[in-house]
Amino acid sequence: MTDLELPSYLDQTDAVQDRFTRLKQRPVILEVNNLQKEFETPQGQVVALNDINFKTHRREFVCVIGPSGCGKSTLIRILAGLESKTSGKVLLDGKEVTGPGPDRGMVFQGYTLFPWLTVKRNVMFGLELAGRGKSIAEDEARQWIELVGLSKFENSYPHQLSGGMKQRVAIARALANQPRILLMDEPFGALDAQTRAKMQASLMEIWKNIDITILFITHDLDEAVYLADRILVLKAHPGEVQELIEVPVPQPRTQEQLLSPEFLATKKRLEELIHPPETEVEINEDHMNMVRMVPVDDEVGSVF
Amino acid sequence: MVSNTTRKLDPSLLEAALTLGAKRITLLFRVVVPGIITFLFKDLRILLGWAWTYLIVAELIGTSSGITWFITQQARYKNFDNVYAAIMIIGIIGLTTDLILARLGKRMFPWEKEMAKT
Ligand SMILES: Nc1ncnc2c1ncn2[C@@H]1O[C@H](COP(=O)(O)OP(=O)(O)O)[C@@H](O)[C@H]1O
Ligand SMILES: [Mg+2]
Repeated sequence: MTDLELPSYLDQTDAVQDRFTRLKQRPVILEVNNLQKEFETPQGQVVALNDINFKTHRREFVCVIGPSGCGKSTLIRILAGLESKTSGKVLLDGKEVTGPGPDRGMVFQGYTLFPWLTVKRNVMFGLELAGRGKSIAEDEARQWIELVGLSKFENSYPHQLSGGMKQRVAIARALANQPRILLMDEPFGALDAQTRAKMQASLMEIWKNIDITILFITHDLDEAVYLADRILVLKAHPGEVQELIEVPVPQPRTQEQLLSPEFLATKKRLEELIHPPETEVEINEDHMNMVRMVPVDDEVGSVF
Repeated sequence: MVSNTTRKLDPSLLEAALTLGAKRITLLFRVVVPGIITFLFKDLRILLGWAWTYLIVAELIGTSSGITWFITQQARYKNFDNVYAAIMIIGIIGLTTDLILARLGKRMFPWEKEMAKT
């Protein structure tokens, strides 16, 4: 990437600025205050999350990014209620979160469909627990399955589906409960690049069309910039908020924007935050001299 | 064997169920039971195979009736046709029970990749 003509990632056009102003006026769905998480390990205490603070507004798309081990999964698991916190507050619609519940949908990186249920019955799982009658649950499930484009597979079992299709079902299953927020922990991390791009586009499409707030964890810079309204950048040891970036790329997003100046400027900023230059392996002159001492097969002449 | 089998259940399935609104009881009946029942069925097939083998061995050692007793008896009279027939019967019974269980498994657990193969 060149430094030459990139704008600052902080520069926003009037339209983008206006959008963020309106976004911040929307009601707060999720609020995290002074969140702290420590793990007791045989090697001693590990501070996984230190003083995390942020808010997400209704229908906002927030990505959380950071190096591996910085506490992203721990954070989202606390929000889901699957992990306890050491101190601090997690508020959903102003009420404190104490355990897992259907008001927060979760999509995991690993495929967590129930293997003994068909696609349709997987999606009906939460609906039935919520007390819907079987035929109503079935009708509702069909609509969600159609939304993720899998109507032809409603009677298939998970083992008959590809990775991308399984994650579509997992998304439909989570959305069927009509949660206040959808929590996603690197949901496309195990998919190949092409499938991943398709999944990102369909997730954007779904998000635009229904009333859902999304908190999405990733370690892929392109994915974060492409999807997010705002990006929460974490750093490791201890896991802390480094910066909360307002993505200056206009909505709605398209794949073509991946090469726009705003996109590249934001990506460059993420790169600086996540891979600071001093941690890179330096190839210095001494090292090169050592390399030159290694005998080379002379039969093939050097092209340098 | 059963408790060992229960441990094979993927804990992330339990977590997924919790985020979908499952409470303790529903977790047990909707996730734990269906999750381990296929493993249990596979164990049953293996156990029956063993049981059959033990039965033959046990008969060879003791008893004055039963199919192995018949084999040793007939062998003593050099009635080899009967000996081979009896050995075949042992094999066929063992094989058929296993095949029936495999078919049954396929019918009862259509979601199981491995069972679909057998
Ligand atoms: N159950 C646990 N017990 C002890 N330490 C843990 C546990 N879970 C996570 N950690 C530690 O907390 C830190 C953050 O982990 P995690 O949230 O999985 O990071 P990420 O998802 O960003 O890769 C890591 O250093 C990890 O070793
Ligand atoms: Mg993780």
